[in-house]
Amino acid sequence: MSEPTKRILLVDDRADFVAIMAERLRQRGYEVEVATDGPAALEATRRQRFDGVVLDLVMPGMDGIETLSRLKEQDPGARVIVLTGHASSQYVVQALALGAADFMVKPVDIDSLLTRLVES
Amino acid sequence: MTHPLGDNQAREQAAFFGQVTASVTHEIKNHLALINEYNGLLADLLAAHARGRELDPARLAGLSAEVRKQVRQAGEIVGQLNRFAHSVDSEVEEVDLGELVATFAALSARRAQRRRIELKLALPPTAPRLVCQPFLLLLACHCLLEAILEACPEGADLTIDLEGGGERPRLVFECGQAILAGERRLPAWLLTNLNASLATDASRGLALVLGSAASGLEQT
Repeated sequence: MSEPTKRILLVDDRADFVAIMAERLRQRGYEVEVATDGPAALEATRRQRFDGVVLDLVMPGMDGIETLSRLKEQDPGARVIVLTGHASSQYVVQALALGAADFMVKPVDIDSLLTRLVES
Repeated sequence: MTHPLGDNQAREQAAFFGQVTASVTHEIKNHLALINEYNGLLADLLAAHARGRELDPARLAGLSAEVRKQVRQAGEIVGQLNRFAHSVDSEVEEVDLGELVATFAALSARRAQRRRIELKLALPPTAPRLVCQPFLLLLACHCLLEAILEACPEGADLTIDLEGGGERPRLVFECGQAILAGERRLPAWLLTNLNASLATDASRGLALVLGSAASGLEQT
């Protein structure tokens, strides 16, 4: 019996970025949903559970930290990798304290991301 | 040893420089991340082709165009950051106020966008020129923008109008409401060094009324 297809949620305010990353992930056999802001991400996670969430830390309106905090309230077991422009960012420390599984600095290698997100 | 400008002034200027640089480098990273993804997709398509899948020339052309667009946009913001870096080259110089305001808007766009506010410009066909301290004028614009972002609701309209010419051109930060924090946000030493004054307009927003630069810097 084959394993069920893993589901990933991509959250980033750059629609062009999530569209391309989503295409690449689908080509690798994943089901992908995208959200371009925090509220859309929370709505998606209310509707279904994802095997992994990729979350940009800096977004207009509800930022990545607030989105992560609320997401973890909804689902404490959610596996979230945060994306940041800089490893030394104060937001990385906050995100890890809030329960993010890991962080990666943009630009990311997609296969390294998958290893940390759903394949470990 | 005390900084010749006085600690507060030096700190405020350094903080401004840091905030702008941090914001713009973040934006550059986003362009690089997108170029990285397009390059990755090209590699994925080539790998699929090696396994027997047809390559779509139109798709490849589209990806190439997207990479070109990202490189152009990144280049533009790097150019603006370079102009900002050079704004400290001379203490006092004659500047094209239209170009300076355009630089400020480009460097501040992302910060405004985080409050879902689109920063627009209304520039005259021929922008006035002014002898001033360009870095300090950019700092004053930054302080006023901070006041407006603090006061205006998310999604508000914000336009920077460059009005008038001659002795006292005006930079009007137009957001359709009174901004009471403007005076608090703009330090007195900055207005003095710019030979400028602040005017509030309950229906429009804030106006920075400019004059020719005072010679030298005033210490606190």
